Amino acid sequence: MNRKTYTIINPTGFHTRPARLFVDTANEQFPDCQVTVIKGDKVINGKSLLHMLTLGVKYQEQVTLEISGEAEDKAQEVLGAFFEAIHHE
Amino acid sequence: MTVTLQGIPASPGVAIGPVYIIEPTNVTQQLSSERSENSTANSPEGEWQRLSQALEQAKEQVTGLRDKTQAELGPEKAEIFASHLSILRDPEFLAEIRKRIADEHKNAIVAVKEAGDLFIGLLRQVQDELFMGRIHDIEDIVHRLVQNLQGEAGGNLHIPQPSIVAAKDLTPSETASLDRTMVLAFITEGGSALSHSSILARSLGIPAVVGLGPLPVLREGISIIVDGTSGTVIIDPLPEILAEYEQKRRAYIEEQSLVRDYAGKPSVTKDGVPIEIAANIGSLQDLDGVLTNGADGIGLFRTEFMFMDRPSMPSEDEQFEVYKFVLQRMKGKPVVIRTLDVGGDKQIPYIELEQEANPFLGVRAIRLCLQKEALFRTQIRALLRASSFGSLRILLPMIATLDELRQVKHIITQEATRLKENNTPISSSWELGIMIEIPSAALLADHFAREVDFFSVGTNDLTQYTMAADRMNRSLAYLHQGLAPAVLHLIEMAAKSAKAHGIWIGVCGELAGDPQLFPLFIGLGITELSMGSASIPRIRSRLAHITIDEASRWAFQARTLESSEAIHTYMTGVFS
Repeated sequence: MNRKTYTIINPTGFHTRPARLFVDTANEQFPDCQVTVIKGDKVINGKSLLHMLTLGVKYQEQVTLEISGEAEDKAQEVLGAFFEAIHHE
Repeated sequence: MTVTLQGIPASPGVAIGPVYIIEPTNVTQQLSSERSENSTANSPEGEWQRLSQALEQAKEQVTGLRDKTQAELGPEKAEIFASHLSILRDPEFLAEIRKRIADEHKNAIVAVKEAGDLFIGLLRQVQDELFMGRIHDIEDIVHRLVQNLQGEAGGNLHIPQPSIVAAKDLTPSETASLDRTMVLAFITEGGSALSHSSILARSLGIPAVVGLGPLPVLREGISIIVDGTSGTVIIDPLPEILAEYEQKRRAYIEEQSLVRDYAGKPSVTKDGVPIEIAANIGSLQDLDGVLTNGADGIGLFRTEFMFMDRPSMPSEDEQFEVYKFVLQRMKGKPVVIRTLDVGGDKQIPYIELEQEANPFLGVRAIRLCLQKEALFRTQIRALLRASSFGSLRILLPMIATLDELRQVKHIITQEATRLKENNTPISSSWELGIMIEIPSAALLADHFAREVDFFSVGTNDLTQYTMAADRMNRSLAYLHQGLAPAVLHLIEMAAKSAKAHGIWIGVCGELAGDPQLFPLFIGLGITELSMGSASIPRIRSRLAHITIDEASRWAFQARTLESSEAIHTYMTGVFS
């Protein structure tokens, strides 16, 4: 398992569009990985868009991404990039 | 009888026409009858089977809406249906439904509704408008699944004639499936400016007013006025009101055709001299307007938003990402980024700002940056690193003396050298300029022009500091009206010095976008005007009607006038 923490720099937070891209990528490219996203005391399934939305990740908040399974390093790199980017709305 | 209602203006423009009412499909009511049937529900396997079919059907329907929206409005507007598809496959959503069917022996409709309610409840707790807006999407999906489970068509609404569509609320699916040629405007009881129907209305250019609250009982076909700019809705208007709004409607359409005609055109005078018409931005959200209105560049990017409302300073990497993002989106068009411009009137937790009696005459902008050098160096490094991603111009606010400028240049040289030592690419063509907003800078423009690549005149602050009048003080508003002769003289001095030393000069204050006064700046030799992006098409269209000679003559005349009123009257007389 690997684990990394990110600070959200997207000004409108990590909402529908980035979250949808994150979740769809997790499901399509890494079907054999378990993807967990942690914010504060909330721990959710990173392959569920509804879970991601209810996490309500806002600008400047920190989230931790935990990934285990096949190609977990690659998954960390690909999925982590969503948290580090600015997304055009 | 005429009734006037006030709601949230969701999409600008004026529409007049007969009302067409969309009745809400009452999911709750249908549910109660389903609940009573629950005892006779199929076996859990049968219900799951039924649900799987409804899900497959829904995926097909939503894929259709996504493709339709994408073809008509582009991928950004179709995004909402991509997220609906993602929710229809959502493992946690499906697990909640399955749990209710398999363990609690509920029928599929009740299970879907309850699972939807569960996530709606969780979203409500997020307390952020953007996230709460997604509640609407879950309701839309639940509604669709329930309809599919009941074997209802839920198909397209047939609107017989061009109408004002009135509804309690419009789901994204309903909005997307409406026949657009028949919709003159939307009015809804619920919704916000961020809901999908509002966004869609804006991209279609259809006026919309939302959040009106309970609508009175409307007779089908009754005449309605919708003013999406102000948020006013008038039901059954009197003839004179109708005439007034008909005029407003025409004026709006004319304005829009101006935007269409001039958004993509080059900014040139009648005699073909190019002038750069750029946009002012204060956040990344402003970029959309910059692109729609076809700005020639960004003439003022205020970086303050990155530093406000947060517990710690934005890191070099974060700033770099933001600057790079803007430079890349402008695709090589020039971007003027102003370094941090704050002072004692703002509270920033991680910068210790002393209480000052006169914060606007105190330690602010470049003065603050030179005192908090680490903070300034971080911003400079981020800017230099971003320089290779577009056409960067760095603008220094509140420069009063040459010594301040030289200190900044020394810092920039040091940081650039360090970055180059680390093999960080820096563009060789970025420019450095100063704001002309303190009279001292205008008076010493001849000296400054030797040491910078450009000037940018901030008319608001230059007026404030020339008149010694706080621009927030309402009883001094008369000192801030229009273009004061003293300010005009200072701008002329700066423009002359710029010309003498072969550098360019722009104006980024409010007056740059004033449709009557802007020719004066052109007449003084100013080659860049930066304004709120909504003003760009109008200024560009007016620019196409003047020649440089005319503008110079007007500027020459205006210099002889005694008051800002006289300047305004003169310009209205010669150029209207």
